[in-house]
Amino acid sequence: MIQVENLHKRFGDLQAVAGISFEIAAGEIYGLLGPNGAGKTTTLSMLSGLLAPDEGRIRFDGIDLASRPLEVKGMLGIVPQENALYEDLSAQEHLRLWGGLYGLTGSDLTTAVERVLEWIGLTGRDREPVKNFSGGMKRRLNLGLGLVHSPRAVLLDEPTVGIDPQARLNILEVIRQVADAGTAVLYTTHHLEEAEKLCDRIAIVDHGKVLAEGRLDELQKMVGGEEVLTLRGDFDSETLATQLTDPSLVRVLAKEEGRLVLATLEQDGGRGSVDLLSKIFALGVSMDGVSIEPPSLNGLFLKLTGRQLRD
Amino acid sequence: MRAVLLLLHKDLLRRRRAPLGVLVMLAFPLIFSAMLAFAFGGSETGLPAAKLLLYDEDDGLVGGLIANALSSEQLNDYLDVIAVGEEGVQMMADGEASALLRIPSGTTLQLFEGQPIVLEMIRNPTQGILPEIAEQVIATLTDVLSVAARVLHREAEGLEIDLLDLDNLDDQAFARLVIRIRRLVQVGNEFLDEPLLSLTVVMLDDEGNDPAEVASGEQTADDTIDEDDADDDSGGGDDQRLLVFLFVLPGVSVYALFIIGDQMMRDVLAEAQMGTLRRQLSAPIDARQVIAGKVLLSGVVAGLALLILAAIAFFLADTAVSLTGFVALSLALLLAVSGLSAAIYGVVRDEQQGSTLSSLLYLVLAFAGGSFLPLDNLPAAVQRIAPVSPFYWGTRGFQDLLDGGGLPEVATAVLILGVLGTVLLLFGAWRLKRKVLRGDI
Repeated sequence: MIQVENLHKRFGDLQAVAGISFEIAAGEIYGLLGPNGAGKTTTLSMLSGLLAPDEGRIRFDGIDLASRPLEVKGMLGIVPQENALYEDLSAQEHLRLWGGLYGLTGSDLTTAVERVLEWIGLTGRDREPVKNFSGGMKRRLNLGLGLVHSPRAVLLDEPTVGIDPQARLNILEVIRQVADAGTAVLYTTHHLEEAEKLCDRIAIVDHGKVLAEGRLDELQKMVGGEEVLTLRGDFDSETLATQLTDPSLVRVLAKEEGRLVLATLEQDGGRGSVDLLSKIFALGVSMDGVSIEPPSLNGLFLKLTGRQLRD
Repeated sequence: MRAVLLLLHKDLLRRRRAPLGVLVMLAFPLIFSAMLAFAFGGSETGLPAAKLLLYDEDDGLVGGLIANALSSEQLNDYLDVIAVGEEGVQMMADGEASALLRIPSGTTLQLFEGQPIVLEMIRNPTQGILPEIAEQVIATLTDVLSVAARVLHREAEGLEIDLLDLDNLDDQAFARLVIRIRRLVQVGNEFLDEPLLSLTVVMLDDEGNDPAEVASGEQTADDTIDEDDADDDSGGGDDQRLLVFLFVLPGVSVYALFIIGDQMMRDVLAEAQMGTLRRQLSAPIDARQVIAGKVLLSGVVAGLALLILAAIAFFLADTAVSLTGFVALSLALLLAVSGLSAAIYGVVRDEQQGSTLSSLLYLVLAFAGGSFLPLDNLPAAVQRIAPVSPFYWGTRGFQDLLDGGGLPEVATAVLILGVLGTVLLLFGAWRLKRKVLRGDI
């Protein structure tokens, strides 16, 4: 349903997107997982037709976005990261406006509005001005506006930022329902748990590139049994890295002043980290803290970039 | 088109839910004009009589008639007429009077010979609205005298009466002359002819002693106080206040309309900040439709405000106003309002910059265009650049309509506002579309 090939976008000196490619099938939820500034929103803006790529190609159901933008936009539902709402209008007025802009009229529009109101749990409060809504209700309406015209593909940019767990659960349920109805969903997030729970496939992105891609179990396999150790303290990272490096036991992921990130290779059910720490203590290194990341997507991200997802 | 109307409907709904901004701007011209009317319009409480110096070099019948008319009881509240000689010019230079009317030597003789005569009036710009009152009274008087003189001249010729030898006129001939003149004046066809007597207005310069001509030409019925108003002036302070209110209202209303248009167009940048602009652009509509919606909003809200203000003005003026002239001028003005605001928001970087620029620009254009003060009271340099301001054409157009003018009288204003508005609108829409597509807003 969605085909993205070799997307590039540069803003001045910053290469925001550097060759991203992926495909999403109908009914599939595809997660773009990465920290802030990884290029997720820029990618989404290009897919929404709001930003022209410097290079690359985007197709929806075989139709090229660049050559037939209005036709493609009609098939898409967009849910932006910030709530794009009018404080003085009601939920119903919002939904009718956006349904109308996507070409719905008459009873089709009324049915669509009622269906979405039920999905997002705002039936009964649909005539109140949005300014009376809680943060979670606004988030749900923000989601509903992207779904009112029954799009064939939905692009969601971190739709659960800053809301309570209950509202988040509701939003994730709605997204799953939409996908089950055959809609292709692109979901960007920096919440590991959301990606793990919701997405059928996940792409880990950083600095505008896809670092790894696959189903959750495939990605976990990439992590293997490796644990990632982050050491902090008053030590010379360069010297310590040299003292510790044994290619059969450990790999240096990142080193900077007072911080060293190491991946321990799988050994006898996690003995690698214990052995490594013993060796460090034996060297008499002064440390302020040690953290051990068990095998997970965050561990994978750390392994791939040397940074935490939320750094 | 459906998408544009949907966007317009959405914005009108938003304005209806939060109408304060528009209501304040709508009330502004009414409150501002009313304040000025109460400050300067009450003859008993605030405004002193205008001191008019009458410098009669002719010393003939015309001077006598004007002096008598100006000294009438009805005008006592408004004019204090003082006969002067050459020293009157110095008195004006010293700022001792509101205006000076000079009746040149030979006026009576020329008048009875049917030759055109120009009376000269010097105004003192430091006395606010007082010289304006004097000018309007004199202009009315010259119109009346002009008609009377023409009739008198023709009828005297027909009856073979020598007007220059009135001392030897017998009673019977005089009675015949009076009856024929009376009948002809009632017919009133002579209004169609060019006036015999006209008024030239001269404004004192900044030093006050070297008069420079700033406006000349014949003062016709269109430029004078409405006949009904003139008759009612004896009514006292309320009528005077109404006169000032109606004099100020068109200019301040034009200013308010531009501000309202600006508020609506600024919404493009407000929506960009709210994120709703990007959301609209991700729908299957293009940037032109989004901008067209805002332009239409600007025109519709300013148009509604204009209708309300015009209804109030015309109701108070109690005078028939040319509908075609009003519609044509209003449409041209609304085009200029939308065009200027689109051009401003097409070139600025953000909402705050646009708001600052438009506030300053509109104030300057409004002052230069005579929206707040009569142009005659502004320095000559400002008067020269006034036609550059769309506020000038809007203000002048509505004043012409209130003075009884029709489409021909406002045609120039309509043409200039229409062309200016179209050019600015095309430029502004092009700039806004470019900014939207480039993601600059």
